[in-house]
Amino acid sequence: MTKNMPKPKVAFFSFTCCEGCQLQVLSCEDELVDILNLIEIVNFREAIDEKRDDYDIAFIEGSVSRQHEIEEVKKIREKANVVVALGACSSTGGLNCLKNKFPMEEVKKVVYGEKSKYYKYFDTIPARPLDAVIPVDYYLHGCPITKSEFLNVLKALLTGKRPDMPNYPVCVDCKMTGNICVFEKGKTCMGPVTRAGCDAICVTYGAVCWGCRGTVDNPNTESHEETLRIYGLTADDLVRSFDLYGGWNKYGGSK
Amino acid sequence: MDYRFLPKKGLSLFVDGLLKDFKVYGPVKMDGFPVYEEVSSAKELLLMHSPSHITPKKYLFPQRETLLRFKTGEKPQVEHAADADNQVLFGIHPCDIHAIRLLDRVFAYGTPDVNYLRRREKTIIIGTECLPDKFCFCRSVNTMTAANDFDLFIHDIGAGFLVKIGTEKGKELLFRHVKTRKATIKEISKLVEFHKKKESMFTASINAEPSTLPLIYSGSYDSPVWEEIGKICYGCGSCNLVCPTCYCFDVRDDISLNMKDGERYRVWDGCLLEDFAKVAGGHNFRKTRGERLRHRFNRKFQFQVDKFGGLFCVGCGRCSRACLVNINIVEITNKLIEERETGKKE
Amino acid sequence: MESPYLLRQARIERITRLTEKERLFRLVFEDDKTLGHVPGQFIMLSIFGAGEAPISVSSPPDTRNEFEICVRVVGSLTNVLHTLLKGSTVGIRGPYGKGFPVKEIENKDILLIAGGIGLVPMRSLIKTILLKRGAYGRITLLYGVKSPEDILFKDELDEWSKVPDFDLRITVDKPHPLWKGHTGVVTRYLPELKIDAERTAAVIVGPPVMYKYVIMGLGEKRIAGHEIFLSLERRMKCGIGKCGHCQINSVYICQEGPVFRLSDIRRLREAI
Repeated sequence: MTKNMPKPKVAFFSFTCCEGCQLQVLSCEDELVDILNLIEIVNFREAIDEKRDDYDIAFIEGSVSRQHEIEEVKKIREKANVVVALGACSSTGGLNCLKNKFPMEEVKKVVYGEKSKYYKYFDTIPARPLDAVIPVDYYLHGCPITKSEFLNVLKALLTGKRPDMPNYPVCVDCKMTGNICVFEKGKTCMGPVTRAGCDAICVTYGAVCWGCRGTVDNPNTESHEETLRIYGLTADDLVRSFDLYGGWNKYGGSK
Repeated sequence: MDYRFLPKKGLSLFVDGLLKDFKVYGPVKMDGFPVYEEVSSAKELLLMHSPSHITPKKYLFPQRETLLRFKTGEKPQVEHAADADNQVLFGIHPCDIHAIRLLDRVFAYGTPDVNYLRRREKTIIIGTECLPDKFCFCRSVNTMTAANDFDLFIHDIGAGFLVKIGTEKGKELLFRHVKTRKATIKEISKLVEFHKKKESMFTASINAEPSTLPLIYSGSYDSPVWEEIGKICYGCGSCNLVCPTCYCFDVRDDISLNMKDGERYRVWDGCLLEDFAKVAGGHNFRKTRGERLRHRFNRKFQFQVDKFGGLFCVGCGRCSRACLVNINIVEITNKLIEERETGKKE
Repeated sequence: MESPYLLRQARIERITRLTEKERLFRLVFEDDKTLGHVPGQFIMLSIFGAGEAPISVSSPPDTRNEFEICVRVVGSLTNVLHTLLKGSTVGIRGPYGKGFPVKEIENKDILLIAGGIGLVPMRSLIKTILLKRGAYGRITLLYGVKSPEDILFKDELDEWSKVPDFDLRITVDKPHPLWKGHTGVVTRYLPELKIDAERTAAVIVGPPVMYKYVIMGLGEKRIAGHEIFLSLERRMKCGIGKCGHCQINSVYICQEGPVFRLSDIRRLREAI
């Protein structure tokens, strides 16, 4: 018997990303009826026409990579009681932060074409995770997010409890699943320093962990660099492995 | 002890017979590595294999196990969940047989853990022999052979199988499904010979009597070893999760999307994981990886020994095999022994 | 064989807001049995869907089928508990662990040192002692909190301070404009206490950082280790000595504690 609350109003927003995380949400077809019994969706460009601003919970996908996006997410923060970063781009900055290695002028030239005299006028800033701009209450990691984790966060919010966010590495998920360790097979992966919660889906299906969920709170990065070196990675490979989803931590918004 | 001889082709008949009344789990190859999986015929089973990555304890203490089922509401309803099928664990190595013996003790001790004990009751354990790899050190902790704690123990002696009877239940099953005869002295001696050969094959060994290890560990609390290995440890918990005698767990709730039906379940946890000893207020009682490693090693060689009797390391070498930074339980133990002998602790 | 994870259901009969973060819940079992606890023991509290957590009992032993817990919002479950309304049902397992040696400390002067929510299990002990006031000597309660707003059970503290031979000292960590009483950590007031070490039993409950200093202070007062009792906090998931979270060396706090005699754990590394 909790306090009788009306259905929470939920909005989904999308910034710089591939929108794959929203697609994961939309792929909850079997659960959709139950979900709509629990919440009211008032803003979700990819799914509905309605656009209202009276939301309680905002799921924000994508990283912030343009000046005006900063203002937009700030507005969302003001309106929402709870802000959830949806997916890697939003929670850790994701792949987008790879561009932060380079000066923005150069990035623009490459993307929009040096020959175009207009490239200068495109607005782009170093890509950043949501929490570099506004306070974030909860995080849904992954590129893309997993459906089950999205549903768990939703249920936790409705129960009033803090959603569980694992602070252990993907190795745990691999052992739980019964996978043979990628390293045992002579390959390498980012699992030992990467935050779990994905059920080690990539390894389970024969790939390796790329580290899309960001690192655990206290990763032993030095050990991992050493391990990767022992398994034959070059200095360049190493940088690439850590940069792929760790660009924000490494390059920040400095350039 | 009762030894029987089972002709070569009898094994397949025996497994077929078991499959009528039991789920049968045994070692099979996955990606070239031995793992325990459900099998549907004897053909799939490996008769000689190196230690599996994940231990067969998962059939007695599953990675995730429902404890309660509930319905929320004005008057919540709760029922105990204890789903357990009749099962046969085939191809269990002596180290894992010893590990199961220890888990039996843990879960029966004090307040009995009904979920484990019910599964255990419905489980038939059939052991098989093995040969050590460079991580195995069961010889050093007296678990190279298993005298009992199995229902049957099957050993391939070329012309057929030598079957050691461990329990009445095991004997009854064997006699029900296949024809065997009493094994001859010569056949039995083949197992003795095998053990001799096995014993000579170990490359890893602990340089002290197993009975002295608790004392060595209790004196090594302030050894510099812990900080040293703490520096390279990932804190990934792999050593815990592959260990046949680690049994720590977390308890969580899951509720269905109708927000009415749910379950309380437990999942494997590991004392190497950062949040293992962290309380709700935020204080972490074992903050560093070195402290957590010390805790785990001591659980194997001292703490649980005090509590339950007998070493809690069965020498399977899984933790060393799984460790990406080569923290090796034999090497660490030998280092502590050496420190004690030389009195050196810089 | 019954599952140790099964629980008894209890209804929230009363909720009292004590501070910003702490509320007192009076729980009544749906059946007519008592909780049957001793002061210092804990229960596992369940809210279905949110989980389970160890919570110490705050009321003295009761002949009725009811008891009290005082809960601070610190985690997931406690958050949810604070959203529940009167009349809600929760699940209870326990009581678990070993409590304070109420009988053994009879005829002694009692020195109680509580820090923050350490007063919660302490309250169960104090109320038990006061029910049999004549059986105990002088009572001194040294209670440290961060700031005046954090003081729990204000009315009861007032009442206790009026009990004959009950010396109450509350201290807040830092000076506060509205606070006229003591300031600083509890250990600061140990030296000035008049203690007859020969006939004193001390009980300490507080946050982990407090123990070391208080124990040192009590040592200076020459109170023997076997006359000092303390309650240790650890993470707990089962309450029945299985899950491993509360283990300190060979000791399971949920089984052999949470209340320990100092002399028994002085050599237990990691305990304090």
